[in-house]
Amino acid sequence: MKLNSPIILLGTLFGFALSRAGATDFDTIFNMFRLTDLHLFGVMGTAVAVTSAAFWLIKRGRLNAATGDPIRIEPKPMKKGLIAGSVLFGAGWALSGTCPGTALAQIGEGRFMGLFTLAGILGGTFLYHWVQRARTQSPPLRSPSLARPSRSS
Amino acid sequence: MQQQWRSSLVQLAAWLSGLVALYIVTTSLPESITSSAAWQAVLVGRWPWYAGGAMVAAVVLLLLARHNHLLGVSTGFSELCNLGHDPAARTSWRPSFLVGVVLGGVAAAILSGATPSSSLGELEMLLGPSAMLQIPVLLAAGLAIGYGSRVAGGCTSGHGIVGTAQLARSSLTATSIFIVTGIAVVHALLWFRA
Repeated sequence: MKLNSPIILLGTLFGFALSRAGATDFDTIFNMFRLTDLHLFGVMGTAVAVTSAAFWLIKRGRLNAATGDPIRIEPKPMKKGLIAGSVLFGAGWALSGTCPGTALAQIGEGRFMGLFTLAGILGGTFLYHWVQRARTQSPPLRSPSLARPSRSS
Repeated sequence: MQQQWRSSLVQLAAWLSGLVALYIVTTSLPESITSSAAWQAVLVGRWPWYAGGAMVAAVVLLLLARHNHLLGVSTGFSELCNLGHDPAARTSWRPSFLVGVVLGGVAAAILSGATPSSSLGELEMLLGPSAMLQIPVLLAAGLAIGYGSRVAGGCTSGHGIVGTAQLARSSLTATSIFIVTGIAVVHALLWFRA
């Protein structure tokens, strides 16, 4: 696996931003869900608003990335299980006061309880892919009558 | 292949050295600097919501403008888990980004002079004060986050910010369900525990 330092730098800025914004603090997420502290809604709302405006400008201007190619902004597709998966995610987010990005920043900050959440996230991700691989590898069930060669051929 | 690992190790060593240097410099700064209003506001106190949100957007946009990548943290975890099976995952940008997020946390902690905490704060109202209960719950919650984000196709960064900014149906659906479920779960458990 090859690390890419300019990307690491952007990740560092992201982790720093999450930390400064208060997103890595368990209390902040807990109180967001309790609706007693709307701070993080403000953070996410601002991020979405600024990003949305920039996306609009980029699409309109058909701007290129520094790589030379046109900037690609694509939505994620609707997929089966999106609703169920989102419910699972929301529950996990509420119970741990963490999401995948903030879990990583928490580790860096020294909030070592986040290590358990992180271990769970890795485990859950791994489990998903293991299930997917198991599903695609098992041979399709065939009815015995179809398996029998037909006499007329 | 060995070249890749060597390059990665050298880079990691450079980053860690930089953080050690940051620590040494920060801890040797005089109090007149670290207790100044500017230092406290930028590096210690929580930023106002519009500043935090703006910086998150800035990183998303820098990543897009410079590298033509759309941020998605849970997809990065996916790639980490598939390193053994998927050659594309080994050259992907996401693992580097995830490493960076951890380092960003380190830098933030060094600059703010914060000490590591083992407390869950007010979350203990839900999980109790004992680590014997907290640890399994955090593990299970993590499992739900990991599995759920893959089934949903994204998390709070991919769906919550990037997707919502596009007003994509998938992301608007996912994000509203993330939030509504979180609110419901917390309220239900608090009511239950009362």
